[in-house]
Amino acid sequence: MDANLDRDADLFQPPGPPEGEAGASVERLVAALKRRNRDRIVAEWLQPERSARTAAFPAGLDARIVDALGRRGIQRLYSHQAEAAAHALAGRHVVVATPTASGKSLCYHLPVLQGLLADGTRALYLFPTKALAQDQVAELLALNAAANLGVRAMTFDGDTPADARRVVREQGDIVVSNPDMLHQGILPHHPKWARFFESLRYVVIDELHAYRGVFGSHMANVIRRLRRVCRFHGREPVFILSSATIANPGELAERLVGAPVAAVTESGAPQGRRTVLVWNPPLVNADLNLRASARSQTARVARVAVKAGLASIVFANSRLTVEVLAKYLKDVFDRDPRRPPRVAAYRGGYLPGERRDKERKLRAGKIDCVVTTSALELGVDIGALDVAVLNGYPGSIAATWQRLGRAGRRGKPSLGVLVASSELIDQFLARHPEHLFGVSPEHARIDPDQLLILMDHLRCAAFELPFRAGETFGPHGLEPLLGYLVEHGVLHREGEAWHWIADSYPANAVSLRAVADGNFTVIDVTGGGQDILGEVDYSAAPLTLYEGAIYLHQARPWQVERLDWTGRKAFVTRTRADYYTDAIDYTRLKVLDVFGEARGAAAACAHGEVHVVRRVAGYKKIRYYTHENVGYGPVNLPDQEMHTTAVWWTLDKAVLDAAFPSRQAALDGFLGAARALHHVAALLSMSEPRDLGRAVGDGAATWSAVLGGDGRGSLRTLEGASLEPDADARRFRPTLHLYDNYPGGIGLSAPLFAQRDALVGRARDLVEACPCLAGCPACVGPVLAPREGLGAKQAALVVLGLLAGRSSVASGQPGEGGHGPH
Amino acid sequence: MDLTELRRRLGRPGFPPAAPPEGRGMADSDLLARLEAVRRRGQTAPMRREPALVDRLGGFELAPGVVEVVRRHALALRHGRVPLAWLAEIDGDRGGLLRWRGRLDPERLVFLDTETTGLAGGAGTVAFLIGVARLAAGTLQTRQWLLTAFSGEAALLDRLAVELGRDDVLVSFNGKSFDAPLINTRGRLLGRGEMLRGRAHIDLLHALRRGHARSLPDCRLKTAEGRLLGLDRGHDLPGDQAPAAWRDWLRDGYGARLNEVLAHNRADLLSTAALLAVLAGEGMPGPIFAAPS
Ligand SMILES: [Zn+2]
Repeated sequence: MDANLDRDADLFQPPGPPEGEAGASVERLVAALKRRNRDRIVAEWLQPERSARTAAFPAGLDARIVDALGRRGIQRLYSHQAEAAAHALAGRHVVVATPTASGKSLCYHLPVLQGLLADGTRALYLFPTKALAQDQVAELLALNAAANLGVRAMTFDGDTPADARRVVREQGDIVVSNPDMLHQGILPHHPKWARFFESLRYVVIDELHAYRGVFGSHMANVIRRLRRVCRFHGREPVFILSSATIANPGELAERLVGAPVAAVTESGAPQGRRTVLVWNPPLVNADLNLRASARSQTARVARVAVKAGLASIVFANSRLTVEVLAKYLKDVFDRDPRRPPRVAAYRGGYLPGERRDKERKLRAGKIDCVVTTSALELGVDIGALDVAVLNGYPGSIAATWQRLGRAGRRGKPSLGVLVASSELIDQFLARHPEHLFGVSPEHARIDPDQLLILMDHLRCAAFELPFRAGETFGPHGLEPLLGYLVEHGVLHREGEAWHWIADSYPANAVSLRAVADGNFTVIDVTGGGQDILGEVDYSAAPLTLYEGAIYLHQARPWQVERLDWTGRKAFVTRTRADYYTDAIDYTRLKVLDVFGEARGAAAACAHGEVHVVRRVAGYKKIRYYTHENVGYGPVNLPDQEMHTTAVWWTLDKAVLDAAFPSRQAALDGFLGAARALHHVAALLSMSEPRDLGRAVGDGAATWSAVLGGDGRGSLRTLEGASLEPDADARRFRPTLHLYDNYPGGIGLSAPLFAQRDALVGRARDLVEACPCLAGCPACVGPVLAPREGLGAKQAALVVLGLLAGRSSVASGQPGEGGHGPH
Repeated sequence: MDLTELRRRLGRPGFPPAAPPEGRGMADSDLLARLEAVRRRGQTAPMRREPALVDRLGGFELAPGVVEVVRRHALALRHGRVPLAWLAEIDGDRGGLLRWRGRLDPERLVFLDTETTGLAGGAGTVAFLIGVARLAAGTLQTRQWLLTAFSGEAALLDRLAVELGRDDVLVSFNGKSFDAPLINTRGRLLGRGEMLRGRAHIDLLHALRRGHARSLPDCRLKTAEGRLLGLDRGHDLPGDQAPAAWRDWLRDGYGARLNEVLAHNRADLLSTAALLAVLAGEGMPGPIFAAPS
């Protein structure tokens, strides 16, 4: 059983410490950490060693495959592999959701090879990233070579040269690609791929859990197109999906494929002993519930692990934190410039060559500690490590386990440490670690019928094949949608068919991943040259590349001298600044349409369509290590605008006036309540906090509230000028909005409206149960300089209490126009 | 969801700024005007005055949805300054620019040019006009098939298959990269396979690059027409307006510009033929035309 395969832990296994040594030192490290940090470790969880459950090969498995497996040391399958293969071989769509390194890939290699060798059928493998695809080909080739199976597995992606593409189309038995390439490069050219589609039997989708939210909603539509094209070529391929452990792999797979999918969730693979510690940084100020920074604690745990000779990986949630942590660790381990570096940063935004180089060094065991973002959370092959340290909760439980799973050589002990940040959810989990270790509560959600996304893919589908009357593409009636496209001159209706007639290639106008297009290139102009330093995606650019921003790359600082917004370029020079910069942004929101409303005794809750404008107003300079604020700078960038859906709350005017001693107090209360509601909403809707936005304003975009450096709110007008809360009492009607952070909405606000009572109740409990005195990062946000009178925390409790007040006679009037909830 | 609701949700002014060019963010008034136009024309395809179109084009209806137009060009004529009679004298690849071994039988040459709904390629690009030219009965005969409806495409492709004899040699300008793959794609989509795959094909763009890449500012057909054929197309309909002319016909039954599209396609066919005569003959003493002033 020893060589049962998974790309995470076998073919490129680096020569790690000899058997037993790493295990012993992991145990010693755990003991040492526990001895010295008893007060910081708030939870310890042991995943015991587990032995394998195995099954025989499927009956009728081609003898050549049995031979190849034998040569790789595999005599029997793990139970989940046998189960999954049986479903696929019987022609049933199947999803496998078992832990990292459980040999998931064999679940699909087996039926695919069987189809190929026995019937000459082909397969399409889809991976969310190109890097993963490359690893898969290498692994397939190894199996193939073991017994001269003669399988031609070929990569088809953006790097495939034009003259090699025809060979892939016509000769690839297994074509390895990614969703973007399928969407833009394969489906629109499906007639050229006719031979491939005519013999396509299996479609493999790895890393299923990556396809959630917007990306997943796009992917579901790409699969609708794929199945439509396959039907044209006379095939109904079987889908084999593999996923990390989430609560609803079967449901997600069915939404994605658009058909029933069998779910295999019990792993039969053996597991080494895993220790997971939840680490809460020590309290610095009990009244404020202020804790030491997670970064310094993370750096400390990583330092101890590397010193103990254990290969470590450190995850952070932002590129900035990656760079800061890498700098802290390099300051310790890489002080001698003559020696090869032991610490490396790895994140999106580095150039491909730079990334490949680091991956090679990691696999070869030449780097002792890598600091990374989610870029290494998915299965990029970096070999196995001993210790994973998470600087802050990654935003989902699936991602937490995915990251923790990066540590653990086959059958050997490993350690994972989750260092809680002062963020609300982190502190919630530090108080309730059972949420992490119980049954995963997370449901990955997608909305394939989100109208904007659906229309994008309807264009692409119409380009690929004319639509016929009676055809379906999701649950919406097709005729009005096609009629709309006829109106816009891209389709022509002739009898019972709709034909594409526009002079364009619609797939090129649709990105599966980004809301707006165009990465920013960061160009180093130090010394008069023009060197490309890295890339920043469009959505992150306003927050990281404004003029004056410190841009960190490989833990070294550059300063942005000039930002060419339309040209998507930032020009930077090297700097010695001892600070980093943090953008101050705020959001205005205007209600366009009310879909439904519920009125309570003192408050109203509604949901509908809104117009959102985000503006970066300026930035703070923050000194390293001390975190003091050493200055501000202005930012002048175009606003980010979108239409989306939102849920919002207001208090009746009389109640509002009676409940608060001042408008300032009311404002503080709304801002604090918004913060708690935002995070609770993310938990309840099982999405990530960044999938939702929050704003406090008047619902007509006359003003919006921002949180100052002192933790108190202030009002801004449309132009960004500050406004006294008491200046215009008539207009002071604070509204608390949670909006779906994607143009058009991705279907989060309607369920939030439905769950409004639970939402407000949980948020209220959360603030009430927080041990702080007047507000802290774990509830309504830090309040550094409490003013006289009602504190922000108490004010938030008043707001949440009034919002919760026996309410709820809902009335829905979808389509009713209006400029506010009243 | 009805159309009104859809327009309401998709057509808000200033909807996502990254709207694709098809006009997601189209203003309501514009949408209403279009909707009105759609309503006037009725829900399905507009009434066609096909007989009138067929007459106007000087052709005949080959099958429902396809018009065939045949023209004969006397070999005594010149295209630019190139006598078409040179075509009949082609016997091989004198200068080696065509990379053609052995004899070239002028009677077996089929010049090919298409007009398409776009240049992007892919399954959504349609060849709405396919033109061929060949020597016949002492003339250069052009034969063009114009789709007047999508329903005619199968008949058009079948007619093309009949036209191409087993030993015929295709001659095109950039056809190896564009026209032939496109026709193959259409064939696949209509269940007729890759119709031009494996067929002998001389692409004059490649020959032009071999012989004249250094002496010409670029290797576009228009440049070769001016410098090598001594031809100025004058007021010919620019090729990039052909798709719009065809879409006008489809949408509104307005076919006035289709005559110009056919004329443009014929001129391309004649240029392809004349260019072959010039390029095949290079290497032997003879006139090379100066650039027109
Ligand atoms: Zn608190």
